[in-house]
Order: sequence, then structure tokens, then C-alpha cells
Amino acid sequence: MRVRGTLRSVLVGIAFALAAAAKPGDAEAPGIKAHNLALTGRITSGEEGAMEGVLVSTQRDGSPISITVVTDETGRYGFPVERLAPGHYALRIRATGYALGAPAAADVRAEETATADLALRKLADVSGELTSTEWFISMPGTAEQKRPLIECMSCHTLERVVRSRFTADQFVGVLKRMANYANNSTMERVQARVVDRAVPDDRARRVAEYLASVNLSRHDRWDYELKTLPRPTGRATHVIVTEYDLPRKTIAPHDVRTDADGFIWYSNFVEPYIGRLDPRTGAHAEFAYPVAKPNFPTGALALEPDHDGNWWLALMFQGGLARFDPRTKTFRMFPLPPELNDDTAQQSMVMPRFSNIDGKVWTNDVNSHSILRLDVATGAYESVDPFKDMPIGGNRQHSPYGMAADKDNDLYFMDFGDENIGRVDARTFRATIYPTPTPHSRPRRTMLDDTGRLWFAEFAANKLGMFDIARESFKEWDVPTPHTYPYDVYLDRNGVLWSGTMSSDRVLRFDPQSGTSIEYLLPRQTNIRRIFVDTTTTPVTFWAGNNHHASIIKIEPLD
Amino acid sequence: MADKRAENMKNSARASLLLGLVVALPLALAGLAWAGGASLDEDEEDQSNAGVSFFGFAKDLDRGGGVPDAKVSAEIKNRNASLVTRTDDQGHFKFSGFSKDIDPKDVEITCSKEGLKLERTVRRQPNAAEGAASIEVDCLMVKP
Repeated sequence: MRVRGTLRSVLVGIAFALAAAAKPGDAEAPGIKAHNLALTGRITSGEEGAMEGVLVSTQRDGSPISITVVTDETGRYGFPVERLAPGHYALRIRATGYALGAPAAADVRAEETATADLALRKLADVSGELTSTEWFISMPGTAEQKRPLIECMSCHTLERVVRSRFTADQFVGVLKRMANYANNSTMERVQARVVDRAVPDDRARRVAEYLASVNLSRHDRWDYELKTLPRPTGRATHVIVTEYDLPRKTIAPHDVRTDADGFIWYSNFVEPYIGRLDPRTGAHAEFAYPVAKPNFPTGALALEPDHDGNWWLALMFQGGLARFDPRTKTFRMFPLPPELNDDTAQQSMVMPRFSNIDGKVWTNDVNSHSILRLDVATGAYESVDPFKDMPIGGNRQHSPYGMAADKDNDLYFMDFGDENIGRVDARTFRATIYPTPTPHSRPRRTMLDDTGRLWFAEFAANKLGMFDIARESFKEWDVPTPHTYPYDVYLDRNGVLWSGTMSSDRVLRFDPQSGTSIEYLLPRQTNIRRIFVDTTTTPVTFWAGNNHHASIIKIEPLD
Repeated sequence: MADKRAENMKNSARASLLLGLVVALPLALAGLAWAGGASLDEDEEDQSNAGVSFFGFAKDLDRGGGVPDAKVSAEIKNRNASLVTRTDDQGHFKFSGFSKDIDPKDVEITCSKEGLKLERTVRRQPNAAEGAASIEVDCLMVKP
């Protein structure tokens, strides 16, 4: 590795930009090379020579902010001068199957371009680098055998499962134990449910037998091929990723949104705080709300703004909702009434968007699979069970989850337990249920666009969906990579869909008109939940939290 | 939209007619849950509370053939809810099973499509060989 500063590299960078502009198909893609560069270099390996699609990350000493760019088809990378202030930077890379030959660093100085050419060495063992998606692809077994594992990713990657040495007998106990952890658990902060959930032996046994067939209980190595997804190429390399490390490893940012002042707000899934990040400086602040049920799991899931700029939190096992006024930095708590607030009460969603219309805020109760509606003025809750009057699916478990509201504050919800989109009329509570075209799709989070279309992620179907409210009709699109299990989707101002996932360490940018897609690989293992796309920037900016690794992620496409 | 559900609908309907099998097997999620909140095995079939399902065609009596992309609604008498789907390219639709406590007689199926009106519906009760789990309802539509 060589590290040197030279002004001539600026000219080299410009030359690269011109060369890239001449590449067929990328003529409209300016790429990172069009900028003056603070740091550049070339990534090579003995096996491949120049390597495209290698993620190169920099982090200045003492800074919580990492910046990542991706090498082009010549193996070149470059960090624009406006992204790297002068200082000493550690470098790291992500290229599955490869590692840095030695620890790498660079000194960035003003008015100069530093150069760091990096030679990578091929790893003999890639097992530590597979994403959950890649484990799913690698493992033998039927779709039915693998399907229960999609829930594992709520708390950890599949590597933990396949690297274990549990026998089937031992796994039965493990599965029963895990069933009693709260949804809002991470490996940094495991939380137990107050009310145990029983797992019948036969079901646990069936899953355990499969898990013991794909882990290391019978062999020292996996007896199946470990398959990896290809590195990024072409437009997927035209991106800058910024990661903002949060000050404690236990922080689990779940839903992430921007405000009009440029701050990033997030719900903390495991601790009783709402968090705020200033992406301009990396400054971080937290605002605590009171813990109403001290012996219950803490943390909030959904974070949504209301018409007045307040943030609403769904308080999960704390039972109820919280409203935070960012001007006064104060909370108003809306606990469930005693008759609803039993030991299993769990509010995961909140939808206050049009509460200004009728003074009502929608939420749910996970355990009873029902919808609740809060009267903000009185604090009273009403309960609606949309499936009581439309009992479809025999014993199928319905579970109202992702929520959106129209301008009349009618509710649209995702039936995450099953396969339906539901509508609840705000005045009559009349429910209309629309099964998705794909059975057992488990629609998860959703957004309602300005033209009356609901966009949603079909978690179990590996699809993105759209429901046209006026036409009462659906469209669906497969996501390009199998076993992605999209969690959420967002439509940007260009009609392009963005989606995040807990499994693949990739963010999808998908054009439903043309069917073309780009998948941006992320620098680290990343568990994404609710996403947000800031459409006030050009190009748009993608935001999400890394729920398991205490960071906020910004993706800036360069084309 | 020629989607997977439409294909499944056709296959399932054929199966129910020819073999007398239940076509609307509900899939159990009951009870079991990971820390993530869903089921240990969400696709395990559990028919213990599976009731009747409905399938059929929207038909154009003037032109002949099925009516694609027609809205099909199922309403249960004295209930404050409805179930809505659309017909496929062949005019076929299916509603998977209701719970056992629903009397099939209380379920009303209607169809609508711009440029057509519903003249009447025809309900065919399954015979004993076909089993009682599926009921065919055809929407017969004409120009207004």
C-alpha cells in the first residue's frame, strides 16, 4: 500500500471522470469521479487484478462518521474533497472473499489529493462474510423448511444459527427459549417477555430437525456449497454511503425520518428514548420518556409525525403511545386504559398523520390482533377488530401492522400475519379486506402516495406491492434477489421505489415502470427496518437505521 | 394482471371440482411466535376452523366469455365488513375459506365492472362427492 499526497491526482480524477463519461450506458451517470478528490486509489488482487465493486470506507480518528465509496470498473475509488476534512483516516473494505493485506490508513491534507492503493488478499474461508440472504441461498432445504427462519433475523443473522453445534434435541429447547424473548430484542440488549408463550413440541421438533441438518452439529464444516452474491457493478458503484455511529451499542434505531430542519429522528427499539442526529455534524441527542411498566420490555417501534410536527411513538410492551413535541422537548403519554393494558399489551404501530381532521390517532394491539384508535383530547381508546366481521382464513392469524391514513383519516393497514390489505372507515369502522394477489405474502410496512396508491413490502413473498385505492386493484413486482424479504418500501418523486431488508445488507432502488433495479451493497452487516427517502435533495437521499449495530445510514446515489 | 394468485385460483378450482377436495386450506399461525412476533411455522396448515370458500366467474352474457378485472365483493349478512377481490384474465375469482361459524347462506357475492351491470348471480351448491367446502357463484353481467 502506498499513501502519498499529490495535486496531480486531482487531474487524474478528472481524467477518470472523462473516461467514465465515455463508457457506454453510463454516459448520464456522473459518478463519484466527477468531483475533486481528497483521497483516491486503486484496489487490486492477485486473483482478479483491478477489482470493481469493492466498498472502501474511511473513518477519521475519533469521528462517529464513516464514509464509503465503491470502486469502478478500473478498480479506482475516490472520496470527494467536501466529504473528507483533513485528518488521519482508517480505511476498511468490503469485498466478499477478500480482506485487506494489512491495516490501511491515509492522511488527508487540505488542497491535496491523497492516494491509497490497496492490494487485497483472497480469503480461504468466506463463511464469516455471508449475509443471511446468502445463507438462505446456500442452505439445502425446501422453502417450507427455510420459511420459519425469516423470523430469526429480527434479533440476529443466520450465521449464528448455522455456526451453532446444537443437535435437534438441543435446538428444541433453544427455540422454546427464544419464543419468550420480546420482539424488541437485539444481541446487545435481550429482553424477556413477561408472559411466556408455549411452543408445541411437534412444531419445535420439526424446525429443530431442519436447523440441526444445516448447522455444525454433525460436521466441522458445512456439507453444502457456500454461495455468495456478486459484487456491485455499473450504477451500483455510483454511490456514497455515510454511516453515523450512535454513542451506545445498545441503541437500536428502528424507524428513521428527517424533519424540516435537517435533523434525523429515530425510534429506539430497546430503550425508552427518542433519538435525534444532526447529520451535518454527527451530534446526537436523546430524549427520555417515562417507563410506565418497569418490569416490561422497553423501546418503541413505529415513529410517525403528525400534522403539527410532533413525533408519535408506538410504545410496544409499555402499553400505549407517546407524543413528543420537538419544540418544547416534552412528551405527552397516552397509556392504554386498564381493561386493555394487560401483560400482553403491545403497540407496534401508530398513524397520527391526519389526526388534525378528527382528533384521532390509529394504533394496534399485536397480541389481540386488533386495531385501536386514540382520541387525543380525552386519551380514550376504541378497539376495532376488522376480522371479527370478516372471519376469513379459518385459523389463520391476522395481524394489523403497517399503517397509512388518507385525508379523511380512514385507515389502511397491512395484515402482516396473513395476506391482506385492510381499510377501516373512520366514521363507521366498516372494514374492507383486500387479499393480495400472492397468497401468504405477509405485507409489512407501507406508505400512501399523493395519488392514492399504497406501496408496501411483501415480506414473505419477496415482492413489492402497490394497491390503487380508487381502482381497488393490486400490482406486484418480484425483488431481484431471492430471500431478500423486504421490510419496507418508499416511492420517491421520480416514481422509483426504495426498499430495505434485514437480510441482504443491500438497499434496493427499483423502477416499477421499466423493471430495472440497482442494489447498493452496504459497508457492514445492516439490519434495516423503516426507511425514509428525502425527496428535497437532488438526487434523493435514502435514510435508515442499522437496528442491530447502532448506526444511522445515509445513501446518496450519484446518478 | 396474470398473476400467481390467478393461476392458483384456476388450479384450485379445477381441483375442487374434479377431486372434491377442499381448496381453501387455511394456514395456521395460531399461537406460536418467535421473538420477532410471527409464527414458528406460519405455513403449517390448520383446517380446524376452516369453513366454506367461494369461487366462480364473472360472465358477459352479451358477448360471451368471462369478464376480466371485475370487482368481486363478498358480504356477510349483518356484518360490518366486506371482502374484495378482482377477477383474473379469464373472469375467474376465488375467496379462500371463511371460518366455520359463517353460514354460507349469509354470504352474498356481487360483481361490478364499468360498462356492465350485474343481472343476477347463480350459486351452485356442491354435491356430496365434491364436498361442502367450496361453493361456486357466477356473476352474470349484461350491458346496462
